[in-house]
Amino acid sequence: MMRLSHGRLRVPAGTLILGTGLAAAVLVGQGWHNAIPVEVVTAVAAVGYFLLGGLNNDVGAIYGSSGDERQQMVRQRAQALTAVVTVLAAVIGYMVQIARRAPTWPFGVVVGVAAASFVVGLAIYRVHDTFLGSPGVPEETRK
Amino acid sequence: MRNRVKEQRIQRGLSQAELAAALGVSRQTVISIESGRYLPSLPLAFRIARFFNVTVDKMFDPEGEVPET
Repeated sequence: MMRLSHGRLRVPAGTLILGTGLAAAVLVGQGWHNAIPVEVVTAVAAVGYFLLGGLNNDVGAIYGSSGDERQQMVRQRAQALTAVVTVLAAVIGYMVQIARRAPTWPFGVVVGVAAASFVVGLAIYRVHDTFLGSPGVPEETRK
Repeated sequence: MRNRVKEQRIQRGLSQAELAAALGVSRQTVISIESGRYLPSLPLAFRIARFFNVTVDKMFDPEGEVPET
């Protein structure tokens, strides 16, 4: 069974925006003959995500940016795993580039952005008191 | 953690889909809760308990094991 909601457009729209940005970069750097396939793959992926988002199961809820608390937890865990694997891959890429005496900055940027995002996440989710060394003031007990 | 969601649901003659609709969650989540694979949040645990008109500690037993199905 298919369902339609505004949240369902989030993943396809994000895919379209990022893919079109990539296609634009390919257009500038390599020409239209390489950019067109990138845009076609982007459009196909966006349509695919839209269709997946309409399924009435966990996959549909995850790709449709909707779902109940368990499905949101599954999505968040999958995103966390993606982030960890991405950082690990970037660190390995960094090491390989050092060994090859090649530029390391692209991998450094990924690791740096990930580290900064983690700190921002800690601040957003209200652990900055303990993070900065202050354990916080305990509520006074009444006598 | 053992829970009595399946037992209560069957007693009331409800399907998993009907219970899911009443609780505002997916059928897959009801299945996961019944099998003990997913522990619901406190608000959802209260919704489940209120739906079946029992207390949370009657519905969820932290000491018990989920029976094999």
